[in-house]
Amino acid sequence: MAVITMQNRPNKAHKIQPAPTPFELAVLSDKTQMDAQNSAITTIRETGKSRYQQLGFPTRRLEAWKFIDLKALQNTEFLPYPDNLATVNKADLAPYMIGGNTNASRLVFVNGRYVDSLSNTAGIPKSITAISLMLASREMPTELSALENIFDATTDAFAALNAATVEDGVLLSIPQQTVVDKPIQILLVSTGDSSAPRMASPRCLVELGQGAKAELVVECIGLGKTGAVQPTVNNTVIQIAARPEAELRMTLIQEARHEATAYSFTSTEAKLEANSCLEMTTVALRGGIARHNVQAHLLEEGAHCTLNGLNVLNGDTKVHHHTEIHHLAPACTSEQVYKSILEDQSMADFDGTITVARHAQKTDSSQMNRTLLLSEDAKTYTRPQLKIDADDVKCAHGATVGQLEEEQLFYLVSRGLNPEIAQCLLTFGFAEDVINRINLPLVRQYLESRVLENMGQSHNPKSCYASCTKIEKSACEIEG
Amino acid sequence: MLTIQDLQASVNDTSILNGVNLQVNAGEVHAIMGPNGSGKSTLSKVVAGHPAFEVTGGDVLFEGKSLMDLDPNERALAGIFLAFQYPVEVPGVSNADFLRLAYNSKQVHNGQPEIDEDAFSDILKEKAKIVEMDESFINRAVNEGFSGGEKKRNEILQMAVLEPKLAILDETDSGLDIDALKIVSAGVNKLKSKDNAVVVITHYQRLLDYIKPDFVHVLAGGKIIKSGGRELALELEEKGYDWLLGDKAAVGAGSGGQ
Repeated sequence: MAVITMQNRPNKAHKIQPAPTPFELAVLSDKTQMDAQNSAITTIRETGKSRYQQLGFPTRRLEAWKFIDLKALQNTEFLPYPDNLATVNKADLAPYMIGGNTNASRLVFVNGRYVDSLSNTAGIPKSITAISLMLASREMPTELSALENIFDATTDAFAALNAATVEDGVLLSIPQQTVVDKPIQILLVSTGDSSAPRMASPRCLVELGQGAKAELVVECIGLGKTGAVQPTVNNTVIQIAARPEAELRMTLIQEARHEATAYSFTSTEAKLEANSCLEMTTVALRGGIARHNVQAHLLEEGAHCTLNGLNVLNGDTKVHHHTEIHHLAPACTSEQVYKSILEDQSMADFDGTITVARHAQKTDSSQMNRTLLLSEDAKTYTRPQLKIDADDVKCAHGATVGQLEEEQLFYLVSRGLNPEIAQCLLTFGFAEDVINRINLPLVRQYLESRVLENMGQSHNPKSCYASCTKIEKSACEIEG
Repeated sequence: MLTIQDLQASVNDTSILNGVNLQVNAGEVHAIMGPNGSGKSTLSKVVAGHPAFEVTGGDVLFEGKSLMDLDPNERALAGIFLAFQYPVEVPGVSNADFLRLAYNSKQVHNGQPEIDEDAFSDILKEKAKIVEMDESFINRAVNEGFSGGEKKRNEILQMAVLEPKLAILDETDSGLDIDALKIVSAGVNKLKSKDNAVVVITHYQRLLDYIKPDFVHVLAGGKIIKSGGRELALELEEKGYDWLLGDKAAVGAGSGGQ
């Protein structure tokens, strides 16, 4: 064990600012010429840049970044995508059509920039503002800046970096008492490149007026075009402002199919006013190194927030979830269920904190993290945490890590199911438990199919269960 | 149908069954009673093939063939059904999907065609009436958030769907109110026939007013120490077990639960 003496103890007061890494040099240099009219975006960039300089690159000494290895990223010069790299067509997006409906409302971004020809906004009611950030910056800079100003200076270095490097994104504003009953999909696609490491930084601002209701499906997708052999970073920010009585249901799906190393960062920040509600499900699927940061602020009485999460990982995918729910007013409620199914050498990390401010009495909050390890090489870290300053609160948290439960397995086989089918049922059921908490059947079904696609062959429930109409003979042959 | 011969079983090296003998024939209803921890639940789980229990001696024959080499699912497919004392919650797996897979496993085993979702849905609705179960339970996750009574009804619903030759009901009456007890018992009686057999494990004579046994056995210290007709249950209700146990010291070997 190392002995810490006065000589070698790190002295924070005299911390020397480290020299910029190749990563920082590349992403913070102004290579892109911004439109002079885009003053609102320019402000976002300047604010972001100075905030990033205050925060610095996150080291593993920080609790929130403890288990994420960014050494390789730090030594890579990621550049913005060039304008002419339009390689995505409608066929590439076919797997991402919710309910197979090509006419559903959809905003598509390729490598951080809005692509009108791939999007479909015809179904979005006219009263709703759904425009690219670039356009918003030109046509409604005051509104854009006002919305940005709702949010405090970010505590997340990659969120600051997103602001510093943002080129485009979406501004979605749902007026008061407006109910959007069909999901709006925001597809944030990255392609990677053959010539250089690339970084995209889309930024999504979502505002719900008083009593407004909407359902969003946001996807961060690495398309995995062949030949795109250079590493990629997809660094996304989502900011949500919910006015009193507003309700937002949101599913965030992240998946990387790139050939090369893919980093995916998402940072979601929600400001929830009186009796408003955010129900968010973060789903991480195969590929790369991902970090999802969700921070919800329950600002006024009666606000509610559900943060659920599901990891279905294989290969050497590594996914980190950092969540913060801040109870800042009385009688707010929050619940959290994060579940992981880990195959191969995959890794999941859950670091979730609930804070309850002194005057936030009658807080009711629960947090649970469950992990199913399907391989001896899979790994998980879990850190559910409560920080409570009030005395009249109900908070519960916990974590479990393990294999399938013997008693559940016995129960299923005792009804005649063969053990392989029983295992598939339980494994998929473990994921389905999170999916079932999603409100819209359309979104549930879409997510089911996306999750099933991601389950490895050895635990493939598709053959025995998922198709749901028929047990395939191959999977069902009774042995012995 | 079921022949248990000098069955001995243990869990974690603790001997629980110490030579059980029992013969159950088609068309019969047997009741097994006995003090807490006498090995009743263990007996049911050993017959169903629970992996936590080790059979250390004796044999269990079902229709003349030893069950010892059969996995739990193979025993189920052969026609054995255990209604659990504590039905297990399986979040994320719907009752309908689970039961259809179980039903189709049996169909395949019997060389019958599998049936699709719609056809099975009709069967399930019909069977749910037997236990007066609301259709909404069909699409909910298996036993998740069910009350004690709903879980027990769900066990009998499964029995109704799978139509076993031998049903072992492990304390199906525990945790039931009078109305639920009547519904569950009526369900079991509807499923009873001259071709199948039922073994009821219970603490209370009350259940036996509704499911009338042909034979009553007292299990104590991992052995059947007395067998008789229906009147034995009434006698036990009146006198308790002490008069039977005498100074037998072996009482209390089992766990009394899960």
